[in-house]
Amino acid sequence: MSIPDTILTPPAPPRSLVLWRRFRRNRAAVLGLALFIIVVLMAALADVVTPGDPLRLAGTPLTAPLSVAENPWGTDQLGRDIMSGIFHGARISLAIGVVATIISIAIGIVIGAVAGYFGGRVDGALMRVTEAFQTIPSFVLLLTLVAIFGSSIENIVIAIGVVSWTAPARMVRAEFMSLRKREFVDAARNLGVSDISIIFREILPNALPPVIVFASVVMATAILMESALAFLGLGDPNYASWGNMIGQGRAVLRTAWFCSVIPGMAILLTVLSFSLMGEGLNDALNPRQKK
Amino acid sequence: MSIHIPPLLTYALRRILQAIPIMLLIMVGSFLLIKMAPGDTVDALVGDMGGADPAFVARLRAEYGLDESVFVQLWRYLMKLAQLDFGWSYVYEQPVLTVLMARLGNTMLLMVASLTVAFVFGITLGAFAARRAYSLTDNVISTLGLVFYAMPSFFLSLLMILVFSVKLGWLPVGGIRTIGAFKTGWADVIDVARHLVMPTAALSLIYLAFYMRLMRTSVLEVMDLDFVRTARAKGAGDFRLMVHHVMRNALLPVVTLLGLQFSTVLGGSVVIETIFSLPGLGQLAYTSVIKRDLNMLMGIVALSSVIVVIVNVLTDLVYAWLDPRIELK
Repeated sequence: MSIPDTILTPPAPPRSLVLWRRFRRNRAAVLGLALFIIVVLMAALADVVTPGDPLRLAGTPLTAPLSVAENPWGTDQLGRDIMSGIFHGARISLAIGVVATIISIAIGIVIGAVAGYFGGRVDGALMRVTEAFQTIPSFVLLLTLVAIFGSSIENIVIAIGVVSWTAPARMVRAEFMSLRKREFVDAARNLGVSDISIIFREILPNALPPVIVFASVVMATAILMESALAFLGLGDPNYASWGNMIGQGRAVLRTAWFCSVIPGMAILLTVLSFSLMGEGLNDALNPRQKK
Repeated sequence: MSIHIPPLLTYALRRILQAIPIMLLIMVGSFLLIKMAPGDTVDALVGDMGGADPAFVARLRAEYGLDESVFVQLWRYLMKLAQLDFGWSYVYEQPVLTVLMARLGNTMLLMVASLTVAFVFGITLGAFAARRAYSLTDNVISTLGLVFYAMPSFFLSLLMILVFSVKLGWLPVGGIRTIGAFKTGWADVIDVARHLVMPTAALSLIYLAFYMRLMRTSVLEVMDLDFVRTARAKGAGDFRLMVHHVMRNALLPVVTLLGLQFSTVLGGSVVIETIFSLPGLGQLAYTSVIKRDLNMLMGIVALSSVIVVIVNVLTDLVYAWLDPRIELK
């Protein structure tokens, strides 16, 4: 009597489950995920835990942390509640990080895909543009864009996206250059599939995983850029931003260190969470790299 | 008889020629970008005067050539750039180039100091971690690298000021020299060095972390290669093996990254120079944004791009020298 094959070989677990198991084994990556969840929760619960405008007067100026129940993390020189600023600032940091990353990855995918797929002169021209963007110091370009178009939160997000697409574009281009010669692309082309369909439906899904891992780096950089802008006083003044809190805390650094150290730790831990998760994801996708 | 030109020199010349279209793209791009800004120089001048009659405004526009079409203005701008004329700064009442040159030295000093610190400590710690891969030392170094990478440079600067200037009083809070001290000779060198310690540390830390991580991976890869095993079999000692055989090859990706990142480091100097009141290009970029000195901003973009191109050509040459397999074509 023969047994059907399906009983002898159990079905392979879905790929996402395999990735999660590998990710879970990496303690640093799990720590990163935990930190990230905390930041997301702070952003989501900002209005519940610390209701009201974070920029309003909420207590005696320069109250030290853990001394008054109303302002558990203390207040700054204008009497603004620091805990409220951190919780509401988490929203701004995450929103700017996510949207700027989507913009930069989207520009990077289009430019990298077109350059890598078509090659030749198209590639040459697009790569010159990419090199030009890589040559200008990105923070100087960011300052110039903000100086010209103004520092509303929308402009800042777009400007950060515009100065950080070159690395993703180069990655996508390299992937496309190696994938476009594969049989499945030839097969699709022989079937009369259009170039656009081949680029987005056939090649892109295969080229995406390393770009998604790299997105964690882009997001970390985007958050650092926004906080640096806000630190210099060039951010959007209508929103609580960690960078801006540090910049303002600088004036009272000698007497009230907590005004800048608390938001500083918030940025540090948030960026660290992205790095740790990115590492874990990278190891999970390329298990052979690590012995 | 043909003239013999060393291949390295022709290679350098070819790389510089390749950079010309990119520089042209940057100049045209930054010019068009500035033209998109609401208001021009004349608007700013008239605004400062508190208004003026339309005939005067029109005469000013004609005087600055702002009444011509954008393309005529662009052509004039490029022609002037070719003669190293970066225009006039209405904030400093001086030619843009004069102001830029007065500050270039300080920025270059900060760049060279920061990249040297990042490179030397980065490759040493990276190689050290790789030699003891997956040990406690390696884990500590690698974790520190991630923390360094996540540390915003301006936050680190404030922490250092708090500890080393405010609490301990060891280092000056800002500037490039002690004002009014007029030191000369070695005393002056030491004075400048003391002012550069914190800015250098703040600017180099994140790149130190980068080079460390890259060097660790790179050394681990090279140590598995055949020629290292051969050298070991021939009786090369541990130190000789690391320095002569492994390091030289493992350095290649780090050198590439160093060239690629130079422009990012230059961008980072904006924040650091502003915090430590270092009179360099970065601080100038910040004040130009605040005072809307767009001519100056364009000058900074142009000059920093030229510096980045030169540094990239130099790193390519170092790469070619490190790796004899590279054909100079």
